[in-house]
Amino acid sequence: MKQGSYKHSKAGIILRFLLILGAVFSLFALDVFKGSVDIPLERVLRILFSPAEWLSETGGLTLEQSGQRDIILLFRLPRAVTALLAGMGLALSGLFMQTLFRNPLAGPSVLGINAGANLGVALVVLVMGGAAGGFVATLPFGMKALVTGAAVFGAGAVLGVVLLVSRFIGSVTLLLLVGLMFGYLANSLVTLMIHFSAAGRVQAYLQWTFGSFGATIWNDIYILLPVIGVAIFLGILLIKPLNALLLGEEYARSMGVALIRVRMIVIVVGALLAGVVTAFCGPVTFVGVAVPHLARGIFRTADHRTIVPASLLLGGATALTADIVSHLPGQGGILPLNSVTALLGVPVVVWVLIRSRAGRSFI
Amino acid sequence: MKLIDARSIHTGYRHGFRGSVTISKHISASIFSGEVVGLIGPNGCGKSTLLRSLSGLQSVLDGKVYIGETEISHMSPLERARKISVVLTERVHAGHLKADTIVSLGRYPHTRLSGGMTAHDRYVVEHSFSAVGAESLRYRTIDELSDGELQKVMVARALAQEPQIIMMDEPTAFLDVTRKVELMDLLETIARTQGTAVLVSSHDLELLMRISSRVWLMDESGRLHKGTPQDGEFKSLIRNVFRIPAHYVSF
Amino acid sequence: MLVEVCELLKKVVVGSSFLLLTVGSLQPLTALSVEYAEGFSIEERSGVTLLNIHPREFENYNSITYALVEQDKHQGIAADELRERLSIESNESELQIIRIPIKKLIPLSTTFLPPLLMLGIDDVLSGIDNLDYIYSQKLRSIIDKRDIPQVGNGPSLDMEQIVQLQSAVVMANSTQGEWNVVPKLKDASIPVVLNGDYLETSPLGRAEWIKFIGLLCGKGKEAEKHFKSIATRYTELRQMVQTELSENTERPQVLMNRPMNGRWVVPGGEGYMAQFIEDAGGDYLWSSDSHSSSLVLDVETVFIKALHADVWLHQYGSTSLQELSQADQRLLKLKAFQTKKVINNDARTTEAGSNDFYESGPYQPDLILADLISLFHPSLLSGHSLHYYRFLE
Repeated sequence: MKQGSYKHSKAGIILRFLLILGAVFSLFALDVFKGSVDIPLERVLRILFSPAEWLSETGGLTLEQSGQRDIILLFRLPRAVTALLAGMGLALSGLFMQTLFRNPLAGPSVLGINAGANLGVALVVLVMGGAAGGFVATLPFGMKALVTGAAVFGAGAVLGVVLLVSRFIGSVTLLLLVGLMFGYLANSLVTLMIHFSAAGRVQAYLQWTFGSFGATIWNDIYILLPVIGVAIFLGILLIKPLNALLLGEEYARSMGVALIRVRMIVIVVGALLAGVVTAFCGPVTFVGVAVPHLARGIFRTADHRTIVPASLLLGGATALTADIVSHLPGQGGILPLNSVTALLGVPVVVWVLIRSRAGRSFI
Repeated sequence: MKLIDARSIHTGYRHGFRGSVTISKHISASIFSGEVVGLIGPNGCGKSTLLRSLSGLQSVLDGKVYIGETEISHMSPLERARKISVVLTERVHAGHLKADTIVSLGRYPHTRLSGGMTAHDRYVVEHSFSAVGAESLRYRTIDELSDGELQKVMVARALAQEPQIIMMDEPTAFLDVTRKVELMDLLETIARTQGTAVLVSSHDLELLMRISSRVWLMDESGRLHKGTPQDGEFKSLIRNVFRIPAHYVSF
Repeated sequence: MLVEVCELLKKVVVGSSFLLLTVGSLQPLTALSVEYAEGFSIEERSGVTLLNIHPREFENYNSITYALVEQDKHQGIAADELRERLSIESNESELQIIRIPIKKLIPLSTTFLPPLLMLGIDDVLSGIDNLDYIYSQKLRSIIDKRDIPQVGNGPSLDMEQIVQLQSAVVMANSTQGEWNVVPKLKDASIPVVLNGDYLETSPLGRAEWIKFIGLLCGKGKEAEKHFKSIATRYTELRQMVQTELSENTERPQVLMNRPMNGRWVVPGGEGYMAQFIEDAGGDYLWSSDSHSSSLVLDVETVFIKALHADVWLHQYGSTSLQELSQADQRLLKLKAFQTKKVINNDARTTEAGSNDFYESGPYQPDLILADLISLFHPSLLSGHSLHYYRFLE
C-alpha cells in the first residue's frame, strides 16, 4: 500500500479513538443519570454542576431533594468512577498478560492472582467471624476493611511467589503453568471451605463472587484511583518494551530489552491492577481477557502505542455498559455483574474477532 | 577495526542447579569491521550456540567476549543492542504488525523512553528499507508477506539498529533458491557499502563461500577452524568435516 | 322392687364406668391441631398420630408422614402394612414409622433444643451438632455434665458416633445438597425426622413446632399447653397494640439490615420479621411486598427509603455505630443513625458467635414482640427491658 493509504488509516485510527472516547463519556453519563431510583434529568444536572448543591446541608433542601443529591453524589458517581477505573485496570492487566505470555487466552486471572484474592476473602468470610447457627445469613461487618485487606494480601502473596519463581525459571510458558496451578490450588481450597461452611456464610461469599462496582465509597476510590493511575503510567512506559516483546523474547533482548526486569515490572503492574480491582469490586471476569482482543480487532494492529490507550478506553466502556445493564431491572432489582459482562461481551468479541480474521495470529 | 574478540571461551548451557553442558571449548576468534564471516558446520555441532554467545543472547561458561574494549557481560542490553543486532531463523509471529512498525522497532536502543521517533530515526528506517530493497513492503502487514519478504524486513530491522555487526543464524533456511541468492547478495552489499560486519551461519555452503571474506568451520566436536574461501587446504578440511566426496562440490 | 332398681343402677354405673375407663384409657394421643404453622399438620387414625410435614421449600421431599406408633402397638410392622391398616391412601406422601416416645434424640439444629428444656425432656438429648452453636448456659452445662457428644452436621456428620448411640433418632432441618443428611442416615438404618420450623413465615407458626417435638417425645399435651400460653401472650400483646394505636397514631417506619457489595438485602413483606414488625405497630418499609423470602435490592433503592426510617433493625453482625460508620460513611445520613435508634438482635450472644435470638427466640415470639413494641411505642410497655435486642452505641 502506498503512503496515501497509511495516512488514511491514521485518520481512521483517530476517528475510532474519538468514537470510543465519545462512547465512554456517554456511558459514564448514562450510568450516573440512570439508576434504580428515578431522578429527573435536570435535577441530576443541577446536583452535578452546582456547588450550592454540594455544600448545602439538609436545611436548604427538602428531604427528598437531599436524598436525591446523596444518591447521585454518594452512590452513582462513585459507582460510575469505580466502573471506569476497574474497567481500565482490568483491560490493561489483561493486555499485559497476553503480551507477556504470548497467549490470547491470558487475562488478569492467569497468574492465579485473582484466585489468591478469592482465597483471602473466602478465608475471612467463610472461616473466620465465629461460628454461626446453621441458617444465620449475615456477615460480621467490622470486616469490610478486613475483606478488602484479605483480597489484597491474598493477591500479593501469590504474586510474590510467582515473582520469585520467575526469577529462576527462564521460560515464560512454565511461568504461565505455575500461575495456573496456583489458581487451581487456591480455588480448590476455596471450594473446600465452601463445602464445610453453613449455608448463610456461603450465601455471603457467593454474593461477593458476583462482582459489583457499587461496593465502593469515595474513601475507597481515593485508594483505587492513585493505584490505577500509577499502573497506567507504568503501562505507558512499558509500551516500548512490550512492542519489542511482540517479536519474541530473543529478538526483544537483542534489541536492548532488559528482559527479566521488564518481565517483573509487567507482572507486578498486571497483578497490582488485578488485585486491587478484585479487592474493591470482587472478581470481575471477562473484561481483562476480552477487551484487548476487542481493541486489536477494532484497530487492526498489535502496536501497543495504539492498543494500550485503546484497551484502557474500551475497558472503561465495557465496564460502564455492564454496570448500566446490571441496574436495568425495575424496582431495585440487580443483576450479577459477572453474568452481564459475559452475556453482553461475548457476542461482541466474537463478532469483532471474526471480522478481523484474527485466526492466523492474535498479535 | 576489531569489533568482537572472543578469548578462549567455552560455550554451552547452564541447567539451573544441575550444572552445565559444554558444547565448545577454548574458542578464540575475532570479527573485524566490513567483513563477512561465514560460519559453517554440520547440524548440532554448536554453531547456534556460538552465535548466541557472541551476540549476548547467551552467556559463556568460561572465558570472555569483548565488544571493542568492553566485556560483553558488563554491558547493559541497550549498549549491546547498539553494537550488535541479530536475525534468527524462525518466522516471527506478529501478523497484525506492519513491516514499518517492525523495522522501526529496530530503533529501540536509540529512541527515548517514550518510543517517539525523531527525524533521524525515520530517516534510518527509510534507508534500511531501501538498503534491502523492500520499499514496496513498507506498509504491508506481516501475515501478508512471504518468507523471503519477511526475512528482508527482519534484515532491515537489524540494519535500523545501526549496529557495528549483524549476526544471522541460518537466515536463508526457509527460503527458496532465488530468495537465498538475493539475501546473501544483500549481506555482501551491506558489508561492503555500510562497513557493517556480518556473521552469518548457513548450510548453503556454496553461496556462503561466495560472499564470505573469512570462514569459520566448526566440526562435530565443537572445535573451530578458521580459514578463507580461497585456501585449498581449508577447502579440503571442509569437505572432510562434511564428508563430501571431492567430485560433488565446485569449491 | 327397690333392690332390683339398685342392682340395675349398680350395673349401669359399673358398666358405664367400665366403658368410660376403657374409652378413657384409649387416651387418643392427641386432640391436637395446628393453627398457625403451615409446614406440618396433625392427624389421628386408630390411635396412631400422623405427623405430616410439607414445608414449601424442602427440596427432594414433597411431604412426609411420620406415623407415631407407641412401642407396644403394631409390633414389627412395615410402613406399607401400617398404611393399609390405617387406610391411608398412598399419595406422594412418604410414610415413616417412628416409635414413640423417643428416648434418645439427636437434634442437629439449636432451635430444636429449647423445647426440650421447656417440656422437661432434656434427658432425651443424646447428641448435638456443635457446642459452639449453643447459647443456653443451662443446655451447655447439661451437655457438659452428661458428656453429650458433638456429631456435626451436613458433610461433616459423624456417622460412627451416631451409630454408637444406638437407637437414637436424628432430627435434621436441611435437605439441600451436601447438607441433606437423610440419605446417609437411611443407609445406616438410623431413623431421621425432618423439622422445618425455620421455613415458617409467621412468628406463631414457628413457635407451634413445639408441638411437633412434643408429640415425638411423648409430651404432646404439655407442648400444647406451652404453645397455648405463648400464643395467648402474643395475641394479647398484638391486641393491645391494635387497640392502643388509633388511626392517627404514627407508626414508626422500620428499616432492616445493611448494605453489602453494592446490594442491600431486606426481608420480604410477608416474611417472619415483617410480621413481627407489623404486629408490634411498626411500619415496615417493604410491607407492601408480597414475598416471604428476602429481597436483593440495589443500595440506592433502599437508601432513599432508609433516609427517613425511624427505627433501624439489624440482624447479627453489626457491633457498634462506629463500626457502621467506618464500614460505610453514607449510613451516617440516615435519620435512624442520627437519632441513634439503631438496634441489633445480638444482646444475647456468646463469644463463639451463637445468638439466642435464633435459639430460644422462635419459642418466645412474645418476648421478641414485646421488645419490638417497646422500641416502636415505648409508652405502651414502659416497664419492659429489652431481652433480645440492644441499642447500638
